[in-house]
Amino acid sequence: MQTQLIIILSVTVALTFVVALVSIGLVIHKAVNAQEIRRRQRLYTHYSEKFAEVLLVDLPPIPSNARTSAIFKQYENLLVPIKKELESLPPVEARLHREMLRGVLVDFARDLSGDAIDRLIYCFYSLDFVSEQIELLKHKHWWVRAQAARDLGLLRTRRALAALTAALEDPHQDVRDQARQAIVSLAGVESLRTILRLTRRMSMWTALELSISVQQYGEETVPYLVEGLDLPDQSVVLFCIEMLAVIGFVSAVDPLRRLAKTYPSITVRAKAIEAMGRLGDQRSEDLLVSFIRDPNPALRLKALEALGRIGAPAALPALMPRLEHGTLQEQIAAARAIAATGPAGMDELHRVVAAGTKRQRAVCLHVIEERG
Amino acid sequence: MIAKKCPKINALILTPFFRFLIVVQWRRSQTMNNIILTAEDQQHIRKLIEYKLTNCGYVVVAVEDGVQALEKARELLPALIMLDVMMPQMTGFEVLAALKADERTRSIPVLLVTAQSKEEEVLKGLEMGAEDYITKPFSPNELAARVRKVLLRKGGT
Repeated sequence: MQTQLIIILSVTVALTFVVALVSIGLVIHKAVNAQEIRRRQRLYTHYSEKFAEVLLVDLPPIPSNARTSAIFKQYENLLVPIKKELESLPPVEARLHREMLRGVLVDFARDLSGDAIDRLIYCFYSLDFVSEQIELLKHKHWWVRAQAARDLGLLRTRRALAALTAALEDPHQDVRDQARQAIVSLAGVESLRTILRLTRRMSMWTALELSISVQQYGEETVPYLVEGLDLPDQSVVLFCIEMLAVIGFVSAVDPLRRLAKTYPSITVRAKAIEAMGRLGDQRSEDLLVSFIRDPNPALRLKALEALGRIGAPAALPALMPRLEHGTLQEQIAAARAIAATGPAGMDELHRVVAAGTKRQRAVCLHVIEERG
Repeated sequence: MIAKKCPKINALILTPFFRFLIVVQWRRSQTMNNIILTAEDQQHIRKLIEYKLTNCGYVVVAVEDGVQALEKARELLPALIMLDVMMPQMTGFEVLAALKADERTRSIPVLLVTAQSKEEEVLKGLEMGAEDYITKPFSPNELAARVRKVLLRKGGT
């Protein structure tokens, strides 16, 4: 009985001790946290004040014959005290100071425009914050990544273009969206050249994000898209073909013809043929007609569909054999292409309805009904 | 006239202490015309506005939320109040409504600071009686110009 009492007492004392210890630990942890927050706030206030001055202090006018670098020298002089302060700190302390300073600069960049932002961007580069900001694109939280992408755009950090292009593949929609906007704001329509050169195996997401920018700039993007047709990555070439067709730039027919004839991949050749059809330019007719007899069924079908969009009367003699001997898909596409040639084509379809096989009749009737 | 009739009062007015009081009061009234109250919860922007407007010759009183803004406005009766729309405790609109409801602060011009692309905020603010607005991101020079314009319109400095 006495032993049991001693055990219970010991356990109670031990538990009380543990609880007391944990409580003290928690209190200390909270106090340390609060101190850390206060310290960070103090630093933020300190650098906000310093940078408000750096951004707004009046600088002496630069002589008209001075070099462009003269203005940067003036900015650099403003930064000297801050750089000295950072250099004098021990490494751990300096890291915290730099983090707070970067935060202040990014916050200013979000809310300011005009001359102040130019000075701010110089400071951001001069203090070598670009790499640190780029690193944030790999952060585990998507909102940090999205914010980092946006800020890189605001701070016009062209060095971040590659990292931002990689962010177009981010699993989160907001990050991709911010990255795309940042890239476009960094380099405007010219950004497309960099993006296309850097991209490998373009995903559906990237294609979607990029297509928004391409459509925003319209025909201005054509030179970059035409350049993109010669890039080694097949997915990029496919994207460029698709976008040229979407924009409807008729002069793109010549590079598309070249691709359709010579590109090693059937997928790309088929896409080029499809794009030629969508562009509807008469110059592609002869090539499309030659593809009707291609040994590859995918190319034949795409050529028939393209001719159906263009409506080429000259192609009628070449289309008839496909209606008579092709696969069902080819027959339907050929019938549509024949119908698109005009009254002569429609007469041919009626003739086949009267004298063709059962399948030919069904196909032609279906297309005639389609045309109303 | 009173001074002529009452030599004692005349003597009192001429005492150095009384003259000192008059000068202090006059200076205070001059300074009061220059006070700009700015309410902004974001510290960096608050510091920037403070620095810019102080450099332009104004006396800037900066507060970080709507409640403080209202208190200071009633206490100081500044020449102009700059209100950020999104603030903790009391939004810029709530402060604006309270200012316009108060007889003493009704005539003080208010400049709203809003986020870009929030047209409805701007319209709401102007309908509620704000004098002007500025959208973020803003240029500090533009901010100073707008402040000057509003004060000139209201007959201030």
